[in-house]
Amino acid sequence: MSGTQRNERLTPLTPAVFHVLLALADGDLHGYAIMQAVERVTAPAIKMGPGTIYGSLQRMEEAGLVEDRGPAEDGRRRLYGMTQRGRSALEAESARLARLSDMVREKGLVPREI
Amino acid sequence: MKRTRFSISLFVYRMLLVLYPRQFRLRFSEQMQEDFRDLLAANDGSSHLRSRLDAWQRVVGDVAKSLVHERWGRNRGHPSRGKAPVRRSLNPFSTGTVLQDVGYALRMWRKSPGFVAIAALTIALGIGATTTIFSIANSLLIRTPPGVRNPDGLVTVFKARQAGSEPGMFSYPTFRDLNEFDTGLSDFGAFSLFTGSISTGIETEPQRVAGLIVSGNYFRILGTRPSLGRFFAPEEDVSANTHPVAVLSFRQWQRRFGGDSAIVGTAVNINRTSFTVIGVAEEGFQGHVTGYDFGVWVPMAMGEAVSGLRLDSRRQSEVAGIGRMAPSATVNQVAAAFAVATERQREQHADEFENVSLVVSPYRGMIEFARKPVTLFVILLFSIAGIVLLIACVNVAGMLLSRGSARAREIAVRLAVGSGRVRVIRQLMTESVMLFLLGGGLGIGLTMWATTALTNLRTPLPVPMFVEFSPDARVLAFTVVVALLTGVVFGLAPALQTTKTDLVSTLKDDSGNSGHRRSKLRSSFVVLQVTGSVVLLVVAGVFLHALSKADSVDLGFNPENVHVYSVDVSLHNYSGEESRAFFRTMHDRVRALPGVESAAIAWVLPLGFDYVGTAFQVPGSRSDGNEEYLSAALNAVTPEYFQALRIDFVTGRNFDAGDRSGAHRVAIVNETAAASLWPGQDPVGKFLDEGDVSYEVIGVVRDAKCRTVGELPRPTVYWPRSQRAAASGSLVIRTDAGRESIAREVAEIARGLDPHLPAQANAPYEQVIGLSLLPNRAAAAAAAAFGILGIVLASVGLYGVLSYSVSLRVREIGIRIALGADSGAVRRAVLGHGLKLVALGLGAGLPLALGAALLVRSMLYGLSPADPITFGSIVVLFLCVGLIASYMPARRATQTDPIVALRCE
Repeated sequence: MSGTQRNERLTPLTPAVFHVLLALADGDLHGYAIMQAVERVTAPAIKMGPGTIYGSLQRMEEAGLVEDRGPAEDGRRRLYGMTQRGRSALEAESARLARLSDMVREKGLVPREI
Repeated sequence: MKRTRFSISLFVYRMLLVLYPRQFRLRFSEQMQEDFRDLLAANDGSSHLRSRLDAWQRVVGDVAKSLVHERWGRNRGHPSRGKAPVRRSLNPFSTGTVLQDVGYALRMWRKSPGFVAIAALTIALGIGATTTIFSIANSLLIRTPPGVRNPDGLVTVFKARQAGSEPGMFSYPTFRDLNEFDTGLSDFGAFSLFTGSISTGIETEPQRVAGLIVSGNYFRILGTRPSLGRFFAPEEDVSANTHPVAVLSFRQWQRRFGGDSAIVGTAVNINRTSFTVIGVAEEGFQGHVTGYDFGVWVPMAMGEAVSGLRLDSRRQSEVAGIGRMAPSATVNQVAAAFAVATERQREQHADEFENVSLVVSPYRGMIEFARKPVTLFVILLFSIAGIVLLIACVNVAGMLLSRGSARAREIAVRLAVGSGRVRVIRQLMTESVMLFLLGGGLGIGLTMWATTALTNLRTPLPVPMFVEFSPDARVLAFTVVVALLTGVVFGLAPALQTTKTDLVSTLKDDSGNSGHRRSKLRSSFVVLQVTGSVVLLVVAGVFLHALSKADSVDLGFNPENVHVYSVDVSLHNYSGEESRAFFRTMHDRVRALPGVESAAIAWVLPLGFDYVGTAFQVPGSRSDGNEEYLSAALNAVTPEYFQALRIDFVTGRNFDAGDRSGAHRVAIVNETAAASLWPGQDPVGKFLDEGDVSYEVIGVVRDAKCRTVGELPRPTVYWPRSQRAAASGSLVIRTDAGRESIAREVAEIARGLDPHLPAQANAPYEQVIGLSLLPNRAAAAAAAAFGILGIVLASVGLYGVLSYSVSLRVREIGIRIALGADSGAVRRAVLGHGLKLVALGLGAGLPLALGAALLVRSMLYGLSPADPITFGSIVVLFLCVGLIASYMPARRATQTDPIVALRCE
């Protein structure tokens, strides 16, 4: 209960944070892979550079949403993974977005069948 | 392979990464470089160059954005602190937050009214100084004279030898001819300046007035409206001397005629001719030329009555043109059309257009040839005021910084409970900007006071002048911009520094590194302040020194106990004979007054209002037949002139009764003329030609200053007045010391000869010379006022900053003494530090000041700009201030009981 409350307080997430979490939902990734994944999903809306990615990762790490999972295969990069708290935040944000999207549909603002 | 190769792109990127905070860099820089390599290599079928460009395009924005975020956007090193970093923040620029900041700032002000008062006053002095000068610049150079509408569509037409040379006038027939051409002007008018006297029938005392003789369309071209009556009708500007009508200025109407609306239809005398007043121009309109106080306008057709301007003479070049462009025309088109017209005129009237052409320029309020010197003068004053502003701002920045230290705990607490650093910086910036705006408001008050005083300042000038200096919307906008800019610039550094606290140690009340950083910033303030003040003071000092020198400069003549009476009888249409008779009688009657030692009539007065010069040829000066030319100042004087002004003879004789009109023409030259024409020879008996007339040199006199006190000796030629009488002239009267009633007696004699003649000057010569020193006196007064302001501000600031930085070290000093350091040695170390800063400031300021002094050299009186006395006293002064400012707190610090110092700071 208290965990939900805390996660509720984290939403709404910024688009950058949401997409990074979304990218990590399938497994641990290094910075460049996250960048590519975000771009694939949102292209061309969000283009992140290294500075933004690592800045976001650091802040998310401080907030307990992601964690450093050690070196990647090439030994130069590091892998980042989603924590339980991160997953809860992603789920809470997704639920919020789903609620929003339902509301938008109910008002007939978008066609029901896409 | 690829990864080991040196890449410029990668190198540049690595350099950029250095800008990130250390912690961030240590953790991510390697990964970021890897990512950048991948971005560079990402090749989706595009060219090598293309993928490189794509990578950079992405990275540049990314670095800029994330750098700001990492450096200033959050509280680094304390991951547990701060607002939830992943949540959307409140809009930092919403009205709510700004109002919150303003409210907070106001509460802080209430808590420390003393700080606010001193800071705001300091800013007010700086901004007031700058705004006042801007107000002057605005009135003289930027603002169009009131009553002139759509000035962008106006052009002026003058005659000039080449583009850029001093503009001259053309004749009225030429003006009429030009009106026949299609010049792209919808309306083309002419104007000519005159001065003289104005009086009503009843009054006995005529007043001096400056006016314009204008074509009938003058007011229509400018778009000026009458406030009473009407302007000239077309038929009033057709045939000469048939319609004596005049328009008065609003000021003239108010001052001379008490604003009586019955003025329309009444008669006034202008230069002894009776005119009917038909209207009064709108309030504020003083003519289209900035600075002149034109009181009356008469039509061109009446020009002959007021200034002898004949409508049919091509030999009188006395009018200039002003026109309004047709809506589709440009200045260049108009200029081209006038060039064509000039050529046509030249074919028909070669005399008037020899070597000259008509120059068309966009209309500006300030008369063209005065623009450059006035601009230079204003720039000089503006720079001085700018330095005052700089010093004031640095002072306040220093105060803000000290206040920041005092508030370190408050700020640390705010940061600790979760305020973002940007938010706190913004809060501090809001406070400083508000402080500067408050100062700016007070500064505008100072400006209003100063400009009112300046507007009402009356100086006895040969032509009535009036400039309304009061600030307008533009000045107000300038003040706001200056206040905002200085508020942001000088508030930013203290705000950044104040929020850069080490939270833990600040909260534990421990002075750590941040104190050291802050003291570095404070030290640079001290250096900056000394630098600015040195420049200011040197410039002010050089001016003052130069001025005091000017009084002891050898003028070449002695104006002491000499009284001057000047009048231009040509204004009153005296014929040549009438004028000679007037002056002769004046001279004889004045000469007969008791206590008058000598009296003379001179065409021009040295350092007076006018200057006459011409070029002489020197017969036989060159073997190849090309004669040498001498450009010389001219004067026509009666024999007692040299005695009255105490100009000594070097050789030869004075004029005498034998040098009559019609007799053999003679001249006296000064030493400079003699030395440049006949070096090493006796000039007496040599000849000078002016046109067809030959003059024999009969004597050589010592050099005398002619136009300015600062000028180099210039060649001067004197003629006997009996051979070359000019219409205008001055009486120079040497009296016994203390003969104060002379002005009244001379005025009485003049009134007895012609009651309608207003004197140009009737004053001691020294007062007349004062006018030629006016620009320098004004600059010196401004520089001195600003200099004193600057030194007070700088000394207070220097003292405050130095003593504060010493007081921060009380604890350290206490520890040193507790550990057995010699208090004398500690004191010397503290003193040494303070003096080092002052020395650094002096080191930077003195070369700058030397440069500034070189710039104002043309205004100095033959002094070298590196005036050692000025420089020396300023160095000593600042060292003294630095010494006192460091010594007092150092003494206090070393006298503090170490135990007390250790227990509490």
